[in-house]
Amino acid sequence: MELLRITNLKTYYLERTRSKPKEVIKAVDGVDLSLGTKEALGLVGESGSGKTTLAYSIVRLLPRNARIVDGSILFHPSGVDLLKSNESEMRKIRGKEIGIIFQDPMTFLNPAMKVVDQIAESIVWHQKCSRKEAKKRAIELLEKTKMPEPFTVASYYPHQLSGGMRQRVIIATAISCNPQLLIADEPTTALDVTVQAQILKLIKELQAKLGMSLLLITHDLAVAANICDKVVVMYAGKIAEEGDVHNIYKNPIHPYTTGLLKVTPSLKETNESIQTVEGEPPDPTNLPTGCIFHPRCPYAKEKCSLVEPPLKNVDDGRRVACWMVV
Amino acid sequence: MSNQTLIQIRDLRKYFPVGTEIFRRSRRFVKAVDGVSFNIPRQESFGLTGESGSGKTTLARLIIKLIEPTSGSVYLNGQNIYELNEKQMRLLRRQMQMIFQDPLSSLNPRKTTKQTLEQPFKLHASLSKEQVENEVARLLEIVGLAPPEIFLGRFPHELSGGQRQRVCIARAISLRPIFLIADEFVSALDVSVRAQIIKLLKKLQAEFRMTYLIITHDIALIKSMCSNFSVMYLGRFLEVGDASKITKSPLHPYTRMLLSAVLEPDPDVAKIRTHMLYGDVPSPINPPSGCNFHPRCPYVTEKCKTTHPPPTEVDGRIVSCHLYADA
Repeated sequence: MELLRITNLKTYYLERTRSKPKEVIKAVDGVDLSLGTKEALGLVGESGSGKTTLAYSIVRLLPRNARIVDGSILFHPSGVDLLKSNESEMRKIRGKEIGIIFQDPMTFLNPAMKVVDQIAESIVWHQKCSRKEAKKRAIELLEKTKMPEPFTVASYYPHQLSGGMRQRVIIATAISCNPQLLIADEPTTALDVTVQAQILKLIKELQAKLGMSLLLITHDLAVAANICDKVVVMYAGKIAEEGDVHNIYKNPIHPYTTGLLKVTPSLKETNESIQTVEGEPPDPTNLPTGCIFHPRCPYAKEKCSLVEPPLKNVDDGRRVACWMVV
Repeated sequence: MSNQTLIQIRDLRKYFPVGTEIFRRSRRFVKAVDGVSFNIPRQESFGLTGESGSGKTTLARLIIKLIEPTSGSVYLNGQNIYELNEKQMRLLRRQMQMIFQDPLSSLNPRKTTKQTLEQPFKLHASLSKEQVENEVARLLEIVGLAPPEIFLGRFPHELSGGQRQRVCIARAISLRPIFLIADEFVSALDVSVRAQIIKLLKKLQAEFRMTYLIITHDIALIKSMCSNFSVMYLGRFLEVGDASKITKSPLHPYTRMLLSAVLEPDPDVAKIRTHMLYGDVPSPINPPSGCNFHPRCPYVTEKCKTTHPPPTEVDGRIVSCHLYADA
């Protein structure tokens, strides 16, 4: 069953610099995407690919200079187009229907508020219960996130916690109202590898237990491989390839996906030579014509530099934007 | 010391005092580096890994004498770098260089690429203006910023992350160092750029016969670049040895734990293994007694809680663990 459907989403940033007074950055440029219930979808790509902008467009937490120019985001549980909802409606959805885990937990925790109060705040706001009841539930949530000694930690301030513990507090807050959808933006990038593995496993377990859908944003293909069912590879605001995680990792079609997989660090690789993808992600204010990837593509033909390839369906349920498949 | 060794480190320690009690000497210390000894052979890469707070960066700063140690010595070509006079020190600065994690903060935002790269020559070499210009252009070509004219006049903010790191590398190799420390040099870069920079450093190493110390939390990077590496935890080395041996069959429980946490980009083997993982790095101000690692160790015994395990040679590696010390 479908939980969320994004159609032709376009989110642009208006940049004002001294040299160029009005510059448009097409961070997300015509993305169609569907997310099923209980499905874990990985949004992968390098910096500037628009993955974070896409996710924050869903919850409408964009910076002031961002404009959603076109598209619709249908969220089935509330039966509304999120892009047409006003701020007070969005507030009821954010944190209640859609939980969010941010990249850097310290920035999103109030440094002057005890852990238990931060979690309880969201419960009181969304579920209209007493503070006392909310605090009790907050401690239960800490237990659910496998926080060591939840009763002691509850009365700590964020600076007294380690990076992993802070992320557990964020997770506890995100799941406090049993959301239908959990958006996790680079949830483990700031953490050590040992803590990363624990946090990812926790997210995966909670997703299964609470029956949530998961939208995971990451630059690390290894992270997506480990917890996602489906993967969307983004490049410069557009979808390059989308499909089942096994299909994509075993048999990537788009040259960008192939390249990304080749350069993703792994302990298994035995050949000594280091593979590379030439070039760098394009300048968002000055995107290449035709297929945006063509300047870096080893298979680029003349057509690629002129006409943009459409996102085509492939036999195994995949979608690929490349002239090689069309 | 054999001729094959470039860097030799003997029982190096750095204790930082904590607490700001005026009129009273602080009695508490953070033992950032606590008795570390190892050698780096010429023209090889030595890796240094560990979780944050393990003392990797402090060790690097000690080795290039950015800070003075509490005790211990570092020999470069058989010469103790802490006993050099000023003149010898100037030569040492040319021989040892470092590249950092965040290229944006290690470049002067108000200097163009040209100005940044001219600086080392102005300080250390007596070259004519023309010669310096030629050298700078050549450096840019070596690090893959071609044609140089495009990049010479740019400021750091006008460069991409990968280009910035290339400028930092060009600056580091400008005076032909024999030893280069790279501290998390690809952590801030995108994966596609990361591979290019790794390849560049490997190429430069062969071309200029440099010796590297690679500091990273990424064991896959160590495996692709280093012949030997060490695993550091709270200022001590827990396991040191051949990179392919350690990654294939780690001995120390902590090394096993670190390796088990590395995720593979393969959904078929995808299984997050957390049975080995427990807890966070403890506070370095008040480290656990005995073996530092014992509160997180699945094989902990009574002995581990009281005595620090001596370094023991096992299978060509040096391991500090009671599991192997007794055998």
